[in-house]
Amino acid sequence: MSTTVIEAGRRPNPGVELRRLLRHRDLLLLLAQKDLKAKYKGTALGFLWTLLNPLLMMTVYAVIFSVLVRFQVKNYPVFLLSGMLPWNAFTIALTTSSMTIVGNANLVRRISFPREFLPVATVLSSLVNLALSLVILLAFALIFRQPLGPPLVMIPLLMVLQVLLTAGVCMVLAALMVYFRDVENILAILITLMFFLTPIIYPIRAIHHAGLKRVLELNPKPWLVTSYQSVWHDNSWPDLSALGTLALVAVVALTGGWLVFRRLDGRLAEEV
Amino acid sequence: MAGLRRRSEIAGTAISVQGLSKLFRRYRRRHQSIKEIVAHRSRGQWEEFWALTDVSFDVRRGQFVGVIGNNGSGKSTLLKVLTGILRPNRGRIVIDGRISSLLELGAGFHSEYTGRENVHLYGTLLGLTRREVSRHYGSIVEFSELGDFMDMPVKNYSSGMYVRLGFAVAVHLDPEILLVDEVLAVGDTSYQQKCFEHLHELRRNGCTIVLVSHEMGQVSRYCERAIWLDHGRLMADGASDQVIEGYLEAAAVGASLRRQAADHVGDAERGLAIAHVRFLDGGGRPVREVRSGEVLRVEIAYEAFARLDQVEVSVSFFRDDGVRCLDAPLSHAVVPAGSGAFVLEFPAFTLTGGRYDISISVYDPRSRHFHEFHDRLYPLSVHDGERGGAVVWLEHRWAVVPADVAGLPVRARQTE
Repeated sequence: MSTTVIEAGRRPNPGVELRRLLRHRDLLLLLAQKDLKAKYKGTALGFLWTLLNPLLMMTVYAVIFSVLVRFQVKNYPVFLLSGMLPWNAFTIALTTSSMTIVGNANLVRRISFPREFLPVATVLSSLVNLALSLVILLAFALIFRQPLGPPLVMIPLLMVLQVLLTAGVCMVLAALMVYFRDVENILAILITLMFFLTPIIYPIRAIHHAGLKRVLELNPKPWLVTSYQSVWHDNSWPDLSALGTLALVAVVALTGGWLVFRRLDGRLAEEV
Repeated sequence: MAGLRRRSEIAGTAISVQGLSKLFRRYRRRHQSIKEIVAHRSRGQWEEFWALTDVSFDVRRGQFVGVIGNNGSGKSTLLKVLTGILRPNRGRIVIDGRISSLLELGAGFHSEYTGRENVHLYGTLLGLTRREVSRHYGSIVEFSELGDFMDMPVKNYSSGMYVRLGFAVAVHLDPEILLVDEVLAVGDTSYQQKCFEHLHELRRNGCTIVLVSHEMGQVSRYCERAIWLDHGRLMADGASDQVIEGYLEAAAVGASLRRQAADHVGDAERGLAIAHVRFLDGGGRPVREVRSGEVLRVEIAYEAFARLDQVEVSVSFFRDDGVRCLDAPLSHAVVPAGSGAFVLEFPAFTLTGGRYDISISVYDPRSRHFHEFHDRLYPLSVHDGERGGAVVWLEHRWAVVPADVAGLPVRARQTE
């Protein structure tokens, strides 16, 4: 027999809330599945569409940076894709999951369930997308005779860290969107800015300006991207201290994001 | 600890509500972007109103409680706070047991999904694991009587089918406490009967049930206890017949309503029963909202138990502040035995924007007896553009007639 206490002005303690999340875990999987199904509705082409954009970008950047500007990067397409695909998964998760609470207003207003699962489910489905696109990357690596080795085993860990980090950010965005609808526009600008501040089209060692380099190193996203790059492109182990910091940041982002979400959650059903 | 004893053997309180109040904001103007909020230095303009004010009551385990009251009295808000959708502004609620709920028609259903997928979605939304849902799946399908439709997307379901499926899921997931809003008003009467019998059965097994209903007959027959809410305040709480009596006496049309409640006791004496009521748009699609000035049809499906030579049907529209805005009577209708429908059509429904509650009565002038009297039972929202806040907008024309040409034909300028 479970006892629920609802008290005005006081949220249940996080332990109680966590148990509730745990009890609803199948809902999270079902929502993620629903999201995937909607994305790939009816056709296997759905997945190809999500790949089309990074492939096009890759071709453009490959032409620009291996012909016009020389970065001295061997197998530039592999380098580019190894950073671009995780980045894409990240931004797709950000933009789609930020709309999930607003987009499911009917559900939020009429049923009681852990609402944080709406954005998190979208993050999970974007991860499945990433896993599929990494298969394409593997194909490219083989075509370009890119040497691959044991560092590849780090990929699942990198993906887990990515999910934690993304989920934390997405929960906050999804709840904020209810109160401030122009978060969407601000997000779009930030994503573009972040894209160029992340060493995706250029290798981080191409940056010689010390100040700029420091700015780049403050942002946790490059650590993740450079880790993917070193595994795929350099066939070397990612920098462990960066990885450790990243793990810490990811856990903090997830917990912090969740706590912020809990604070904003109280009036979501009325305001949405 | 509790697992050692059977549920029905545990005496005690299933739901305890103390000093519950809920405040809503009704926005007149709302600033929803950072840009606007910075520009106006405010989040908008709103009025606050208390949807629930200092409501307290306890429900014993295994009790069947009916919640009654006019529209806007806070009944649905109460259920939403109990399930945890809304958070209270004051007060404390303790709930002992797992809650299952059916609050709104089709809530939690995904229209592109098949019936089968929706059973899983709804079940997991209510907090069950997939395995638990699968275990109950067979009995859910059986109870819903929708076996042939389970692999069809629910967007093709009728509202009656929605109710069947929703109800079947909500009651078969082993609830300890069940909250049901008025959804059972939709759907055919024989299935409604089946649902109530099932609720009765659940209750015998120790399930606590809270039901919001406008049908006093239902509340009187099934609920041992009733809670009457009015404008968010608890007006009465006690044996259902007594509470219903108080409610009906207070109601504006108390006299006829008491007759209705009496009639519901003996269905056999009635010559006719309303099976369901639907609002339809110009294309014949069921709607719950209509645009001012467009076609509105009200379809009242009935079951006549005998041929009736003289029937008066009346449909009245009440605005949410209680003003009766419109009557549409039908006199001297002849109704053959069997089922059919009264269809009322407004070629241009020009009540202005707002929320209305519709009363429907079917009256026999010879015996001075109401076959049915559904007092403000059917909500309808009307939207309009620029027509403003008066009660009704009528087709009209204007002319400006200068004195020196008076008497000559003037071309009237028609508005809109």
